[in-house]
Amino acid sequence: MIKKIREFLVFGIGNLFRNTRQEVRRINNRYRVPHAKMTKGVKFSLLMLRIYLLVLIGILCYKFITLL
Amino acid sequence: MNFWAKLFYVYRKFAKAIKIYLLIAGPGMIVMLADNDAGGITTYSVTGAKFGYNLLWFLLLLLPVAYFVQEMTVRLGAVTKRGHAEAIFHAFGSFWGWFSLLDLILTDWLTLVTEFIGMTAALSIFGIPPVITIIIVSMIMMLMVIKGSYWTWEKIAFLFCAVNLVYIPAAFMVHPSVGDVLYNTVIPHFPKGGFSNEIFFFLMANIGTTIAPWMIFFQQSAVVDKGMLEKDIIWGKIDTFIGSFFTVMIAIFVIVVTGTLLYGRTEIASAAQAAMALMNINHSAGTLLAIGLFDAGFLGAICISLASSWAFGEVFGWAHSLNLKIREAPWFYATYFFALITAGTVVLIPGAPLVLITLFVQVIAVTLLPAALVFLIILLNDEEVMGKYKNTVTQNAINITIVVSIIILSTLYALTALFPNIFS
Repeated sequence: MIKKIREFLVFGIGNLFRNTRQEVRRINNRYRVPHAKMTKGVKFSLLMLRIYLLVLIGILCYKFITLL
Repeated sequence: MNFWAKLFYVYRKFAKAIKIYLLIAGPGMIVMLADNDAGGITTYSVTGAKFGYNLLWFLLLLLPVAYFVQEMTVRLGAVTKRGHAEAIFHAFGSFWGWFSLLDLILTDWLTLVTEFIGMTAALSIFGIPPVITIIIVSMIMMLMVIKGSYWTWEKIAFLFCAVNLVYIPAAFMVHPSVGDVLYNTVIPHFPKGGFSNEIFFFLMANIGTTIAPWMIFFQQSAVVDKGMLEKDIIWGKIDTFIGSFFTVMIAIFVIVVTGTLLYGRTEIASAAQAAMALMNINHSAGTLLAIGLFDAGFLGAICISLASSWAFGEVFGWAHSLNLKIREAPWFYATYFFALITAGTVVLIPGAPLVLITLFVQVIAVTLLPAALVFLIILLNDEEVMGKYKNTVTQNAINITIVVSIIILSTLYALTALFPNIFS
């Protein structure tokens, strides 16, 4: 019984991680090229979104650090 | 054609339209009623108890906000036949795709925990222990999907949507002043003392409960799973509008209940607390509020867990439809059950940081909402993909105004939640 549990933990979970990694790689390859038309407006919106998220994550990190 | 023949013709046309609507209705109505989830009912209850009827007018403004945002998901889903997660991956590449998917999964799971908190709190009022609530709720939610039919799931969901209407009789039971309610709903104004930080916080909270990231993902995936086509878009829009109308009406009725009986009497912090306080004044109204809170949590939970499973299925390429049996779509159902079981278990852990989770939901949702809304607008403007269903100039003007306002207000709401004294 213990042997079976150990086998499951070592091989089962190991396989799961390996498969997930392969799956993520496959998805990354599949969606490597964005299909949306990258007009100036779209590029500007995505840039703004990145800046917004960076600032927000910065604020969250600050809050987390000051809480500790 | 004589008068009676004309009348019969009109009647047949109308009956046919109703029949088509009833066949296609579903995603819009369900997502909108599920929008009034446990968190939403808490927000409305506390708003009513704190400000009475004074902020009723603001809820009317939220009707077009909810409709215009969700209507875009109907068009996008019906035209592209892709859920929102897959649409983001396809249009913006894997970086934005992973960001949206992982953020959605985290937000959904945390929101699911808050739905379980709401459901257990509601049934605790009737003496049902949380562990029994979670087991029964999880079993019902599993039974809803086990048949492998979207229609069955939708019909059961509609039943729970109907229970959401309990706030209407509850409002009549407390005998509100109809004149006051109508005046406060139609005439915009602020309570005595004018605009304050507290009012601002509550206005933001009400907006926050109106549009949540999971709603965008859920409705688009549901439209695809239901198999809606471009010709069905008009019915999908009507469905969404009727849903928006009901969601606002229910919010108004909740505020009327707590505003009539609790305004100026007692401080409350949650819907469950409001239900218990109401029971001491009007037992029937308090009972209906508690039943409604449970139902709101349940509706929210079934939609949120599905939104995550659909998103995972779309991106990983798993079979992901409620029309498939468990053995045909094992990963789709595995993620659905996994989310349910883990979220339910967290609520049962003694000393779990439930208040922190509730706070965290508001903040994490704000990291996803702007991205999901911006992507929605960009996708709806892609003529190659949307063809004649792309946003018109008027739709863009309305939608961009709404999206920018939501982003600003929800960000301020998150900042207020993180730093309560920031604007004082």
